[in-house]
Amino acid sequence: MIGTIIKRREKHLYVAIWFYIATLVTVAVLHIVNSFELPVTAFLKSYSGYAGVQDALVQWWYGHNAVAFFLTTPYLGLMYYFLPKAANRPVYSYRLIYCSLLVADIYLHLGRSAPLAVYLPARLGTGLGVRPSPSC
Amino acid sequence: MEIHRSDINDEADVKRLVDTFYDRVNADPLLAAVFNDVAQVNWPHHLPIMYRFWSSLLLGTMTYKGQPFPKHLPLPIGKEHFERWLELFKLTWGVVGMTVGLTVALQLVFPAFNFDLQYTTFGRIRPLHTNAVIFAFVGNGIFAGVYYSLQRLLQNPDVQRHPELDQLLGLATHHSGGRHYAAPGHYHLQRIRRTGMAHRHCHYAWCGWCLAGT
Repeated sequence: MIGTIIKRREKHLYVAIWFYIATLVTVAVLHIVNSFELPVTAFLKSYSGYAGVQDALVQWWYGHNAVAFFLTTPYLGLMYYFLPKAANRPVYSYRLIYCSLLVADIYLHLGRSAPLAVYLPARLGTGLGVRPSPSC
Repeated sequence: MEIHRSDINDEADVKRLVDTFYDRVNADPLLAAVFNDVAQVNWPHHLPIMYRFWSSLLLGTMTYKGQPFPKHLPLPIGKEHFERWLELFKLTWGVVGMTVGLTVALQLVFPAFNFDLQYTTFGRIRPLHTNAVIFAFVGNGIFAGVYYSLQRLLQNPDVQRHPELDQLLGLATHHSGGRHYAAPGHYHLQRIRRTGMAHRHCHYAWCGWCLAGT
């Protein structure tokens, strides 16, 4: 994908492409951080690098944003490409799409409010008035 | 009647395997077209190569000396075939994942659908359902859609052009002098005039949001 972007002929990156890039980068970061583990044998056995509440926090930060950046942003980008094509008219507001991309990035902060089956101190919440829920 | 099935032990067995396979290929309308019409395979010449290839693989005879990859490169297996391939994978995984999803849904109402086996209980196959749908079904959809749209949006030289689509998205307006209402170039000129902010600054701001978010 990066190689395709580098050898492009169109200078401007249509906003859908920023959604694709956001997907690529964020999914990579999510997996790297969430998969931080300590090997305990030479082969195949390892334990999470986090413990207890910290582990739960990281795992649901991953889980929440896996939904946001694997199920949502790539398809938003695809919709901004295919929907105008299907409707046979341009997007209503190109600028508004940039705003929606920013909203998606703010959403990355909300990961800590995702369904946690543990009690988490409120100060580890989003700081946006959304407290981590102890049940679901 | 008992059918005798022997293992593949010698060159004759390999020959029988290859002949049987390519008889079936030639009976298949889609594949036969690629082999006979497009590639115009000379079967009496080609089949001995296949015998050597498979006997090298199966019997370790090392009689095949060749590079199969360059041979297949000039074939008209292009981007559209790859797109179709991803789309078919998406559909196939969709059916698989959602069938499992239907099963786990039924289990919530009818416990008999657990089949009294540990491997088919709700707790075991529910993750299978979510993994198949999210990563296989949705993932192949992302690959197919991004692969298709990215090259067209970037006007990469080796992609089949869709001028009406470019026009629609305003991306071709710089070149064609067409309508400008959705032209990103126009939009950026306006924004720079208004805010004095170059395009790249917007990108820096965006990267900052991402870093802060992670």
